[in-house]
Amino acid sequence: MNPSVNLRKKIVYMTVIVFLFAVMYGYTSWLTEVKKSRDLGEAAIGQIDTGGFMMKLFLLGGFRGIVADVLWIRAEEHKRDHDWDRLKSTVDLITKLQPHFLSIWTFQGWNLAYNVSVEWDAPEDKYEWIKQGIKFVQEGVRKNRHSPDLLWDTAWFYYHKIGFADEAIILRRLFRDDEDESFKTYFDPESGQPVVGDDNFKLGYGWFSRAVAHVDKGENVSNASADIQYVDPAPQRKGRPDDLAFRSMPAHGQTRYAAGLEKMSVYGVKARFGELAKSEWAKALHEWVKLGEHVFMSFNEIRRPDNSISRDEIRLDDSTNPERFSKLTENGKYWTARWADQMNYRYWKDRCQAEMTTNGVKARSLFYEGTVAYKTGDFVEAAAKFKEGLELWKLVLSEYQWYRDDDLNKKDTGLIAWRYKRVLTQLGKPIPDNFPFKELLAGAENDKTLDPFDVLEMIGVVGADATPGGGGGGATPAGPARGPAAPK
Amino acid sequence: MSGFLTLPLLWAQAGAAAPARPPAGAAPVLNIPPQWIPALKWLYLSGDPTFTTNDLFGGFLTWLKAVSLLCLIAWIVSWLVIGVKERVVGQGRWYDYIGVLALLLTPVSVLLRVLESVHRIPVYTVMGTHLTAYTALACVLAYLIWIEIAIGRTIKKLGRPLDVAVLIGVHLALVFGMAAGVILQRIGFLALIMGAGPNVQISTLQGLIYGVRMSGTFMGYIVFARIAIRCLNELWGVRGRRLYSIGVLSWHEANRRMWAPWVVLTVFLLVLAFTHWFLQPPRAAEMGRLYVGTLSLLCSILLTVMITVLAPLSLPTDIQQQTIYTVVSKPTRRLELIWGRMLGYMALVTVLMLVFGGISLAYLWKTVYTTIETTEAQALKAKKENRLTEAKLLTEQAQQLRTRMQARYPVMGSLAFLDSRGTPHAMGIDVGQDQSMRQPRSHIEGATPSAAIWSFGVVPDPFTRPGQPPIPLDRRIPVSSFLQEGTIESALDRVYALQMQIDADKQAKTQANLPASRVSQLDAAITRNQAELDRLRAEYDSLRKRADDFLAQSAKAQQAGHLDEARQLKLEATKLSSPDLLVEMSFNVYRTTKGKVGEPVYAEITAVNPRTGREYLGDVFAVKEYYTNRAKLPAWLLAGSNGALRIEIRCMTPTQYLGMAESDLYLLLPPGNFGFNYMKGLFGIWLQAMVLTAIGVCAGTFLSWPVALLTTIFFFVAGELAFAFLVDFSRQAIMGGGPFESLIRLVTHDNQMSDLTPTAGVVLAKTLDSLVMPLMSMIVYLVPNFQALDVTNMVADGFAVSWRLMGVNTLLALAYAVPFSLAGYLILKNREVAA
Repeated sequence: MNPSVNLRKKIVYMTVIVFLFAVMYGYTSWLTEVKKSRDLGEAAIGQIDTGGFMMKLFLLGGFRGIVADVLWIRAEEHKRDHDWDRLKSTVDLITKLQPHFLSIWTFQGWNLAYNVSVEWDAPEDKYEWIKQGIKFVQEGVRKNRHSPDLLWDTAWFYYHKIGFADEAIILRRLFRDDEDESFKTYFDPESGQPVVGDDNFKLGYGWFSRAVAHVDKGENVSNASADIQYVDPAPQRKGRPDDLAFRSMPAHGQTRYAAGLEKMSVYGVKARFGELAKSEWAKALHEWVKLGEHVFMSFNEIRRPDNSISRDEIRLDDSTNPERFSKLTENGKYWTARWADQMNYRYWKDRCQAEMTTNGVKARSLFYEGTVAYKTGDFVEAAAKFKEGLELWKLVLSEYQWYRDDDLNKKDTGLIAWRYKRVLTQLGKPIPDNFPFKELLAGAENDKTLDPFDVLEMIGVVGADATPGGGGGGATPAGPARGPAAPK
Repeated sequence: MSGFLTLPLLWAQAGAAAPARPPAGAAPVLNIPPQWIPALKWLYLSGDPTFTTNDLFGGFLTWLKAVSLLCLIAWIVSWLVIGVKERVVGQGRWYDYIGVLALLLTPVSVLLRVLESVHRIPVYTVMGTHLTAYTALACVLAYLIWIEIAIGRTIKKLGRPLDVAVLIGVHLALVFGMAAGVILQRIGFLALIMGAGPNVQISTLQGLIYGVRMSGTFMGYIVFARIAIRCLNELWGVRGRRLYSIGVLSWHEANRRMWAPWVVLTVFLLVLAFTHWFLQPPRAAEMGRLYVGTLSLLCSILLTVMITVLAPLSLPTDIQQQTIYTVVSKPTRRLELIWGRMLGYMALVTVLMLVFGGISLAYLWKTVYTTIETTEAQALKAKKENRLTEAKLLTEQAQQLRTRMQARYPVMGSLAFLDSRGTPHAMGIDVGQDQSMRQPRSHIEGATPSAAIWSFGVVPDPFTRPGQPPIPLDRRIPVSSFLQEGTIESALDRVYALQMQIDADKQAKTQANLPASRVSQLDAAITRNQAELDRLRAEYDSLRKRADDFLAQSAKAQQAGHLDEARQLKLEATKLSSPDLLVEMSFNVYRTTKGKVGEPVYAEITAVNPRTGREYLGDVFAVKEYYTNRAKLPAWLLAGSNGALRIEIRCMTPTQYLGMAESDLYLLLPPGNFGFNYMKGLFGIWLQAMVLTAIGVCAGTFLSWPVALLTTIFFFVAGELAFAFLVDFSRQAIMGGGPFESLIRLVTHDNQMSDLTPTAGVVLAKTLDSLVMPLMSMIVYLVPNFQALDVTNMVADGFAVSWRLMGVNTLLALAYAVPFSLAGYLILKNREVAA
């Protein structure tokens, strides 16, 4: 080939390369600016995982989708084969490939915390898997900072999977004993400071509050970049403006925590009363009132006297204040009453108010001590505690009508009344013609279901050193140390 | 799983259709002299492409049949191609029109069949036979005539005498097969193997068709023999020094041209350095398993990818750059070109494998053993701080981790069940778990006579069909491995053995009409054995006494406060006994109610020696799901067992169920070395690399390098990832039809289950499927089962890879590698490399 032709070709190629490079540089700079202005960069969505990023970029390229599909199938196969550890590793790999695909975090976090944990028989193993599920979804939170859904999922796992499982009393003890502080840390909604909690309901409360605060700050996927049309937008399921249940969860978490203090809700941990119980019930009340004062908008629009059309502002707390309630429009009254009933708002508020009183806490403490005495056969002590407690409790409830008339309270109080009657019978004493809550005896006779979240009811009185469950490990030979006699 | 078990599955394709049993038990219904029966069996075994025996020979035979069939196809195709290329056929003579007719008739007959099946046309019948059968027959006949003429003319014109001999041999084999089919039909053998009922008649035509099927195999043997002779000739000339030279050349080439080993090594180290980014074990207990699995996977991927890229590139580049002239102009054989390259690459793989193995082991040592120590320290701390549940969990996790980092030799029994009424069954209760999982479990009910029984020794297969003679399974325990020489139990074992021998001789003496010489022979044996027995008893008693003395002295020393001396004496006593038998178990728990919160389900283990009647009533233990429960059985239980033992498991907790599969309980031999076992696991990857090298080099002999590369990648992906799918594909067991029908379903969003409306497009798609599916199914014959060669899961689970399994896998790998390399040789031999 002619050397000059060769040289010319090289020059042309080089020019094209330089030109393309210049164009690409300009384009990339422009794109980066746009991303930055619209809060769309990888770093803006959540924490960058360098390893996952490199893997996506260099190893897989266009095959990312296919590889993710294969891994999803593999994960389901591992689940079918009960190969749980490989399931977890596979799921981890998927998250490296699709860290901003929210469903993977929700679906697989649930899978680990609920579906995998239930397959294991021992509570300590169940706990391990629940923890894996929670940590997994927390990782999702770190990678997707705009999503209130994942915050809510984290809170729900702490609150529900640990707190409402059949083995909750043991799981809560395992949580309490867990040394992993990062797993037990939540942000206190008031101070905004990280706090290490010993109770899963407290963690639930903290994370629920964080999810609500997140929505209140306007931090969610759709708000993050409202002027952008996503090809495949991540759905936001929690924290929509009319989501009552979502907003009620911090209050539920705190209430469960306060209620859990006053019974042996953690295996081997005694109930606690006094100022601690009072202040926690007060916090619970605060949370309920916060919910009650939040403005929800009525679903329907009403034509006003000035012919304008607008929605009514609804506050659940108005349902507990006759004066404010009477001033509402008919439509406002309808929605306030309906939603207050839906959330059982009056009951919860009433209950917190009753429980936080000195007498309320005292009555609970007497019920607890009476039950311990009853379970250990000290009927004299039990009768005295029950009697005093029931009288005090009657006094307290006389001021809180909603709580007094609620079925849950009737059941709990009825059980104490029934036990009081039983200890009197055991002691050979006559049953008084009239004693507080005697009218609840019939109900208690018919409903003998026990509180599954109270160790005293499910197992009995156990000390702090007790270990839940039986032994484990293998069998040991109990046979003779040496051989038998030789055959004759 | 034994690789050979997959062979019949792979090549025979018709596991389900094949007759389940050899026709041995049915001899009485045959109308022939009994001395002919063995010959008939051999005829059937060697001719039927779908039948084989379930042993090593059977595996070899299946391989031979499959390779022979492939040889036959290759032989026909190659002569046809030569015929067309050399213009012997395809020149517009009268017989070429028959060929064209056959080509036209093929889609027509398939289309007619499809139209019939989707009810677009009625089923036409002419003289009692379907119209489509006539068209298919006409088509086949036309093909046969054209092929016959084409091959005959080509060989006549271009073939050598040996080719003419093969042609004649093939025809003779065809006639022989057809005759054999008719004979088998006439004597009733065919009815027997087809499983037809007593009143069903097999027609002569069916016999003839079966004969044609068998003759395919026989014709294959003839062509195979021809090729084998040619290859043996070549083999005779192969010299080690030339292989070595070409091997060294390939080694240097791989190093120089691609830096392949260095690239692979760097990637390996890079990935290892960042393992923690993508590999976080969920629980400490599973860390070892996860790391071992991942490291072996990494080795496997890197080495196979390296080979996939290197092997197919070498020859085409040599040919393209004309450097091959230098080699072929030397007295080098073509087979040496192939095998030399394989040798070079495999040497490279071997070195890399050793390096990878060494680095992996060091890495495992550092990470896993550190975790074990940390977990144990955490357990100790938790125990001190009275967090007993956590301490228990951590201890178990550390134990589990240690278990996985071993090379355990399990001794497996045969599992059968007793139901809650005590009736024996092959399976327990199905609680509704997914049965498609890898190890589906059967359950026993708690607090009932229900039990799971593991039997060791020569035991009947629990899955034998009722009314059939039981199939014996050899599950004997290697007693000598458990009872150490010179111990009390070993002496007791010999006492039992001798006692049983004496009893047998005494029994033999009671038979009537025993010749006097035999009686005196037995008497002598009894006297001799009795004397020996007395001696053994004395030895046994003395050993026991010594052990008792040591224990008594140890107790005294303990009382006197000489603790060291007491320990020493106890150790002396222990030395006189064989160690306990270690049983490992992993059961599932199925709860019908929650029971008391936190309380485990309990099980009981008992064991009995069925020959001596000695029984061990074991402990009750808490079942820990997904962990390995361990129990110890006293060694004396095995004395006199001759490898037989029965272990029974019962569930003790009422209303709860225990689930188990056969491999959930086993006795453990002393474990082997983990590092060595890891290397044995890597050997499986080495075998994969060998097969891939053969494929790559073979592809390089006739394809340009990009196509050869793609071909090798295809084989790798198909064998590694899609093998199970391909097997289903070849059996046409995949829902939704073939590729064209699937495409229609994909585009129209139709599900796989429903029948498609027979529109013109659907009919066309089904017709095309019917044409391509038989051809595509053939691919399965060629794709190696890479998964069967991979035993790294076993290593990761902490089980030893047995030498037998390694041997079987080596044979399996050779069964693929040798034909591929020889095919490469034959192609290279017939190719003009200088063109």
